[in-house]
Amino acid sequence: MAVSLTTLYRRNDAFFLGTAGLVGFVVVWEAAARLQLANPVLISSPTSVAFALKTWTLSGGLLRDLGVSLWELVVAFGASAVVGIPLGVVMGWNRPAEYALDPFIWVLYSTPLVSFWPLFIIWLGIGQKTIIALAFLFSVVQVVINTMAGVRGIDPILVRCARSFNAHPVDLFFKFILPGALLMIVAGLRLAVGRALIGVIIGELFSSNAGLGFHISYYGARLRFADVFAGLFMVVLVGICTTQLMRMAEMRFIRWKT
Amino acid sequence: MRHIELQQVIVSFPQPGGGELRAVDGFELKVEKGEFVTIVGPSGCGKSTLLSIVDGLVQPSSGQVLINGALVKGPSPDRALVFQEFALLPWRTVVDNVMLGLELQRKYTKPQMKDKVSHYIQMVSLEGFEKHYPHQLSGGMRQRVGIARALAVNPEILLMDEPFAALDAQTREIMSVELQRIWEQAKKTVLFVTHSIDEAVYLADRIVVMSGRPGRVKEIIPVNLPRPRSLSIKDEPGFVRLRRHIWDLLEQEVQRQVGGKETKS
Amino acid sequence: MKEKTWQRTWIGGTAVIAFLVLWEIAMPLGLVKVADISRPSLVVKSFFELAAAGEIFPHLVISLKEFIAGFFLSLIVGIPLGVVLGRYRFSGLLLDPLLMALYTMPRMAMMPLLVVWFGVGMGATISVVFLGAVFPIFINTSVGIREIDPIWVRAVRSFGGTEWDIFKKVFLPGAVPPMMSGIRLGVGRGILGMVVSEMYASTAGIGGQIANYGNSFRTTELITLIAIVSLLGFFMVDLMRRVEERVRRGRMEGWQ
Repeated sequence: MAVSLTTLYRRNDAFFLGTAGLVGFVVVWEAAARLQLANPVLISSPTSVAFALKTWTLSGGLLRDLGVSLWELVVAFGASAVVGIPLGVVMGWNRPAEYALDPFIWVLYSTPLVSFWPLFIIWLGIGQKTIIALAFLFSVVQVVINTMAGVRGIDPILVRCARSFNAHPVDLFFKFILPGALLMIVAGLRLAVGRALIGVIIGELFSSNAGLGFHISYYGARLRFADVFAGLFMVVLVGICTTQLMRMAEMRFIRWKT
Repeated sequence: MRHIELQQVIVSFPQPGGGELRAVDGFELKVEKGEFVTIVGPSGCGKSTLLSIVDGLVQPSSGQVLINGALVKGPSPDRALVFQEFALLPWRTVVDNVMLGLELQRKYTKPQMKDKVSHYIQMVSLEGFEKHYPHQLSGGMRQRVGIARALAVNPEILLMDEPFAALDAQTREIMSVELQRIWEQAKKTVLFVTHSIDEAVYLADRIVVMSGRPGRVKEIIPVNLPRPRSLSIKDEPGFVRLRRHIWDLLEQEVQRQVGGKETKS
Repeated sequence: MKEKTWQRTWIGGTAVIAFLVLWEIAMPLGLVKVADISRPSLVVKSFFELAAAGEIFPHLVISLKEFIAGFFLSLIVGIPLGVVLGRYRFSGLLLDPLLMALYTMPRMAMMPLLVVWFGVGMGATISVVFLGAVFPIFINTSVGIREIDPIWVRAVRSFGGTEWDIFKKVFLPGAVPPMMSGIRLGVGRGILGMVVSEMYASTAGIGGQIANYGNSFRTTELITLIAIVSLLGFFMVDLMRRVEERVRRGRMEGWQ
């Protein structure tokens, strides 16, 4: 069965066009650098970025920086889940708890959390602890809000059903509430991982001596933009991978929803 | 000179796998001024396509459409379309929706338009609802807005594409009585496409029965029932006979479609 | 309903007051020894001192100027971009991965670049605000455009509307609700960008002040400024939320 090229294109046009767009961008970029349409120092070029990536990898620096950032990310994210989910559940389940804690969550949600960074430095000193603390802050707000919404949004009919079976509160929670809220919670975790990553990078940019953010800041200060772009590329890569991972987890839970 | 004339109109669409799909084949029709012509036919016979062609939104693959002797090239203020799905802009009030056609004509000032609009809102019995939004109205009311909007541009021809199909059965009956009343008042030429044989007979001066795809004129039936027609006319022998006859014609078409090549509309 | 809001204010208020009281007495009572967390009373006092000394409002003005410039830019770029991307599927698909990649990049990470390209201070901050706000704006606008029911386009066309008519009378009004949400989100991200950029790249503006006080370990002043920024963020988003509500109510309840 011969599938013509046009049919193949039409069915997957998003993929083809998207790839074409990316390739086109890379080509234009390279051309702009080679033809000196803009200062090559300022905009660098795909080839130099690729080269910078290679050097970074070969020197072992990439692995080290990646490792540091990922470690900070995992700790901050993990902590935010461990703290945020129970907190969100309590707030979603217990009205008074929600009323009491809501003002604080609201404040944290609408404040640019970056402004807490100097405070954290004063309290925790310069180091990984502080970076993790900032990333934790970025991430936990998202987790709490989503978890709360998830618990809130449980179909009240299900709750009535559970109560009619005289379900013990513990059972009610684990067999009815949690599964129902899981979707929102996982979606919240997906968003939170992105925010935790941003927190990690910001922290590293401000002050660190290892990690992806550090790499960017170090080479940025020396105007070596190829290396900066290499760093940015890695950040985007990590962001995409972690989000995709979370999305795959989400998919497994969606199966019953559709 | 006839008001509307369709001469050997053929509409075909190229198929993705090659070849062409003929929606309408050699369609011929002549409509006089002020006539109410209904078009009824099986699903997929191209009835709605025909309206688009008369309106000028679609060009026929061959053949021509003449209005007042002139070739139809594109939409024009002498005809207005009434849609099955109402097609009202949800963010506009009733008044603003009825005004839409007039706005696009760019001929009148705001106060002039407002005057015309209130006249037609009255005509479709929607006074008091001027400031309402479509979502606050029932289906029948929404379609009345659609009709008022079409009438507001004072077209010579009203093209109605299964306008009552989205309404429930009772509202449908009421609306066809309403439409008749409005038409007697407004005196437009009407091309009315429908699935419902009852509607087709009740409203028409002449009925065009179409064949299944490709759509052709199977038969044109004059309706000599006296006007104004009340709903009780549906029980009278003249009406029943017409209905029976059309049903027989359509049954042939439906059998032919089901029995032969199954073409999806 | 009324009872719920009353409960909410009552319990919430009590919690906040309890927090403030605890905070006030924490240090004198020696509850916290490891760090300087200051006290609400000192924070309030320092607010008035700083305001009087001209340490707050001039900087706030600078920050707002940068924000407005960047945000305005994001509107005039974001809305047309959203319209084009929403209307012409081709362009949307072509640019999608590129724009998504740009979106996921933490703007902070681009600071070294932006500072060199646009200059320390105003330039960099405006660009960060722009980058922050433009994405929700054009994404939401394009989604709004895409969800326009084609029947409305057909209706306008059948009454003889030109392409421009269709744009003005169908696409623009139809896309306004999602556009407004996008603008609201854009404001939040814009403020964030503004603070971040000032903290990193300048000594002016509120963010710059925060960085200064942080560097000189002046906790109380720091907390004061954080509170101010927090209030600023809150008011801006709240304002946008109200505007969004107004626009929504002024047109149609029940639709979207």
